[in-house]
Amino acid sequence: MSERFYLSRDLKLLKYLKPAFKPFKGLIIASIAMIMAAALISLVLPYLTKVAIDQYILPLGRLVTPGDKTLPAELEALLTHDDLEPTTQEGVFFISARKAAGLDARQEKNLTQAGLLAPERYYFRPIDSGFTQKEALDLAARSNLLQIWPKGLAVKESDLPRLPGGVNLILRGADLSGLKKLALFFAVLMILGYFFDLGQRYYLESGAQKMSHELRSLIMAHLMNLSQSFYDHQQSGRLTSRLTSDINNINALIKSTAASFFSDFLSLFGVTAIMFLLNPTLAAITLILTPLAGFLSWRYGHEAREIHRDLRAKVAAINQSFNESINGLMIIQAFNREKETEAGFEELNEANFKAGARQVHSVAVFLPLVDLCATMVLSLVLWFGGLAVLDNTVTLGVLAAFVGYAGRFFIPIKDLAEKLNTFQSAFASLERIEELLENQNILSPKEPVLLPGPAGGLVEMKNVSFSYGPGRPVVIKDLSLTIRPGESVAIVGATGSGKSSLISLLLRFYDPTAGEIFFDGLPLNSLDIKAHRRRLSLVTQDVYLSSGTVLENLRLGRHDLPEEKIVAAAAAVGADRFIRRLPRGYDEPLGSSGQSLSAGQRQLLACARALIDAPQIIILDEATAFVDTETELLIEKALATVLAGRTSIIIAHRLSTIRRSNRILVMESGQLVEEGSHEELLALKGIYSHLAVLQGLSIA
Amino acid sequence: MKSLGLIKPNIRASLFKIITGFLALFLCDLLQMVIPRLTGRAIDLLADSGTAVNDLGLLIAVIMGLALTVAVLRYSWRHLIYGFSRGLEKDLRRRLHSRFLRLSLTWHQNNSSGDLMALATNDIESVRMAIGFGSVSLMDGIVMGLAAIIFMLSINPALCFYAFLPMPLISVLTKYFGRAIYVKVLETHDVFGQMTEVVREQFSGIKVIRAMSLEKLSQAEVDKISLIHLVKNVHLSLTMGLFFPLMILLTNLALALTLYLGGRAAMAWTITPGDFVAFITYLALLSWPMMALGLTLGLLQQGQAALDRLARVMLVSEKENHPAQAGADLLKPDGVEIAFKNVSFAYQTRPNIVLDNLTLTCPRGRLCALTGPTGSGKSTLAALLPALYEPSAGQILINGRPTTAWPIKNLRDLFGYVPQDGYIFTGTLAQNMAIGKPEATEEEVTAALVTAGLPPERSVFPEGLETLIGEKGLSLSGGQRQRLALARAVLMDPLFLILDDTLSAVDAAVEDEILNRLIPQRKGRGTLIISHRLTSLKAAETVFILENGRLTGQGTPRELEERPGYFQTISRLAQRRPGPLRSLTVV
Repeated sequence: MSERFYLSRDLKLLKYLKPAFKPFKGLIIASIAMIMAAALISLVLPYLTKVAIDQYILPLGRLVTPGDKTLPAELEALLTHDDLEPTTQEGVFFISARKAAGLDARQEKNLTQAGLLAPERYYFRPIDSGFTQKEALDLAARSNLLQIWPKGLAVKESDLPRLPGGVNLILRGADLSGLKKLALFFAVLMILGYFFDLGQRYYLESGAQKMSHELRSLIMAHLMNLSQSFYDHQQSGRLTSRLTSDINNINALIKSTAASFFSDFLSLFGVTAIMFLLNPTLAAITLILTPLAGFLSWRYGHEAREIHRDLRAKVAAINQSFNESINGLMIIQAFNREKETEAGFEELNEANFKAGARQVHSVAVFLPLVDLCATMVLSLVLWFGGLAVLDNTVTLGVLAAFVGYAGRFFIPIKDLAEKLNTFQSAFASLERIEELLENQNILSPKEPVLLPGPAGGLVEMKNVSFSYGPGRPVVIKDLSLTIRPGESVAIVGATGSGKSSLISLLLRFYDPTAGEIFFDGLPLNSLDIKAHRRRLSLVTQDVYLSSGTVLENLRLGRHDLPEEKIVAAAAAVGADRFIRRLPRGYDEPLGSSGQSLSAGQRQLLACARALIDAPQIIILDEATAFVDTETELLIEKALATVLAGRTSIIIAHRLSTIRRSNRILVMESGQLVEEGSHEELLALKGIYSHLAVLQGLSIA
Repeated sequence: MKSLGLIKPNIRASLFKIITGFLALFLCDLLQMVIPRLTGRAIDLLADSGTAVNDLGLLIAVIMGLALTVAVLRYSWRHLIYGFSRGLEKDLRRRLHSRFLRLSLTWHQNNSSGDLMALATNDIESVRMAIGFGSVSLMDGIVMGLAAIIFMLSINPALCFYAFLPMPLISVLTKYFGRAIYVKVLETHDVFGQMTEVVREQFSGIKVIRAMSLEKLSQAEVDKISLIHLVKNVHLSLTMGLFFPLMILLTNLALALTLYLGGRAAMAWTITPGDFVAFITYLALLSWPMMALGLTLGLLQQGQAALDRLARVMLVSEKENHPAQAGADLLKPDGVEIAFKNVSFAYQTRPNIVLDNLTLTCPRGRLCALTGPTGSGKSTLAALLPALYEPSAGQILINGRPTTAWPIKNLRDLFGYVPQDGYIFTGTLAQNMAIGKPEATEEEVTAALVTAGLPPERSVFPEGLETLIGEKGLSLSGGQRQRLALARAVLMDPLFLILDDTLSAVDAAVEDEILNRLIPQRKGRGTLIISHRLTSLKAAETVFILENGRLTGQGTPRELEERPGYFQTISRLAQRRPGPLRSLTVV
């Protein structure tokens, strides 16, 4: 897992998201479109406020004296003669607020100084369909502040506050309804924005979550197909986090990329472009501290990730230790080890505190520094921009715009620093997932041969040797054996003698390194693995239980199985009794790994399952831990029912099951060393008879 | 509010730090609002044609100075306030841990370890968040909100009325949604936990799944929980998606109203157009503090609730183990005699009586055994000896002194207790052994492991005694765990050793070897073996039979074999099955 951020390699990793992305492309794209729409809508308020003031609240125009009918140069580009409203004074014309706004501060100053533009501003209400000539005249009669011009009523800016309230409202009637429309438009836009925002959040979460679900499903399916030897080197905890926290990281990537990465980069580039269009010199000054801010963000992003990871590990360690203190309390108290436990815990607690303090420090340095950068840039812009304004080389408007942008420029930089974290962990997760998906270690013959009818049950091993990998010890050495249909064979041997490996080979978890295995005369590696395993039934000490009900656990996904058959099997092995005593009987949910059941009860369920399966061959890997005599008798009875009339291979610990077998094989160091019936082997006085003596003394 | 007493000492110890921190935060908030106004002033200055460069320079110098001050203040308050909250977190966790260690097992039985872990993780984190982030946001919200409100009120109180129309609604909604979001967040966390568990089960059971061709079912299990996870997350986002945009919408609707009414007021010249713009700017500014305030209140509420839960465990005068006898040390005796006198016991969590008026004696130096059907009370009897629980009635006398009259430390030093499931702590083999005797030498540790049938051979423990075991290291089988637990107690070399079905997961052959090594070592000191196996029971001098919490037989194994009863039944069962083996056992 690399710390750095290699763009080309990381982009390549995105191909693993493709199959998950495809079905939900629409959702994601729709949500991005909505994000953009919502972002645009959120920008309108400053603009609408300006419109409200310029068009409705204070639409103040100017009086212009063009003299010999030609417009002053500054105005010529802005208006035509049609834009000039005649006033009561000869040769003096009114230009509307909108037109006058085209002048910048310096032009306005020049014209005013030349006496072409009157300093006083006017409000002008033209006569139109909403304001008749008669109404205008009636209104003018109510206040002498109103001037009657050829095309409407006018009032000086300085006289506006002195107009009687009633007159003002009639005069401004059109403005008021315009303002009302504007406010309504704003409200409608905001409601629209609300739906975009809502939709965006919903679609994005759904899209990202569905992608995550799909990805999880794909990886799970892939893992289920991998050879058993893959699992020899994997810890289940690590595999689990591929499907949980790693996918969560990717989920965050999908969301943050879509939600804000686009918009951050977009606004960064957008602001830069606008600034350069407005004034390249000032733009360059604004950008002067960007490399510093960028560097700070980069450093912080790395540090934050490292601290975050460290903190997470520390918290996990603390929680684990806490958990152990609670669960191991009996031991701690019984051995008087409270003080020692506290000391160990305090070490972890202190380490976590230090990591936390480091995080506080890192953020406390970074955030104020970036903000300081922003204010410094603002100061620079004010200083150089201000000098330029005084020099008349830059207008005040441009400077005001720069002041606004300079502040906004640093927000996406800060954001991106925080995102870097999400990005890096997501790509690290993707890398780990790549490792899983690229593993093609799948055990299956090229052209599976289907198994023949149910008559079989013949197992043959011919000169089989096996080791778990090159350089690892040979655990089965040149072993040959034949088990006839219906025969019951027990395998006895000390731990590590190769019993379990033998079973793994029969189930084809692995292929033998040498020799061959045949089932009903067909070589094992030509058979369809799943079909093969379905014809075997493995009953072990750890019973696989899902979180479903008892019935579902017996049914194991075979929905065509009638309930009566299941209940009959449960009754046959004696599991029926305890199931019926559960609060909801067969519909009792078993919860996480069936923890509510005792070991014996779980074993009984396994027996019931095996009976439902009616397999040709039963492989029994029994264990006796934690089972008292009574339960043991119950299980034994159940097994007798299951084993009757079937080929069975038993790794036995209980003498009773061994005795029931037709043949006993004794293994040592991967080889068969003794073979025969119970009595024959006892007479041999070898390994078996030694084991039997010990077993005979025990009741379990 | 009583629960605040829990953090009072911390506050008192860091009072100066806290006050300075909040002062810095307050100043920081104020100054931050001044800078934009100064920028505005600068632009106004420039619009005025007679501006001197000096004035502009001065203003900019002030802005830069303020910016530097803000940066320093910010760094300071973050350090002071967040530093304090981290320190508080550490201290609370330390105190909670110590408290847990000292509360009796009876108390622990009444409180699930999941609940206790939630206290240690979520609740302590909630307190930290409330004290750190929560109080800072509250301050931010109040200062910025108040400033904006004061500015707005000074512009036009009537307009404020309309602008604030949706505010009560915002508060109500925030409270409602805050709760709903909190619940949904917990739910999604829960589902994530469940999903992790389901996925883990598939991988740890992969062999069985393969063998039974259950791949499809296992995939369906994962898909099922993954789908629930999906739905819960989408629900959460829907709730949050309803809430945040709704808040923004409400503020925006207030803005639309202000746009119209404020604009009308500006036309009627009751406010100036400049005031109109300022008013709208402040209102837009106010929406965030209002929303933050709502969320902060939620955060503070959660912190308060978490603190209450912590206080319930830490302040309530729940009895710690034998607090009264914690004092004077007794001289260590040279032997232990155990006598139960009319002892009865019931767990507080369960109604049934586990031990019923039990009287028995295991004299000094005797090897005693205890057997009986599952659930007959054997393990409970064992746990009563080192006073992990106290009898509900009757007395247990150790050398004539009732267990309740022993200083707890002295009492527990007498016993080496090996429970049924050997609990492994994450750490090295040596660290796990140190629980038995921290100062033991490497030779002693190895010897104890050899006695317990778990020699630290490199083929099993690649790093010898330094091999990591437990969650993060080598996972041990049930039998190995049991032998490790036994080795711990052997290392302790106690005056009285209690083996509670300690070798149930070990091969009969290995068990036999272990007992052959152990029993001679125990000569002259007391041992109690609880077992189902005849091998173990027959090694004892006295065997007690426990059925349904009552003593139904006692005597030497030979005596008991002759008498009808549980012991005779099990020994006959064992003998009946192997048939000819019976004669061989004599060989």
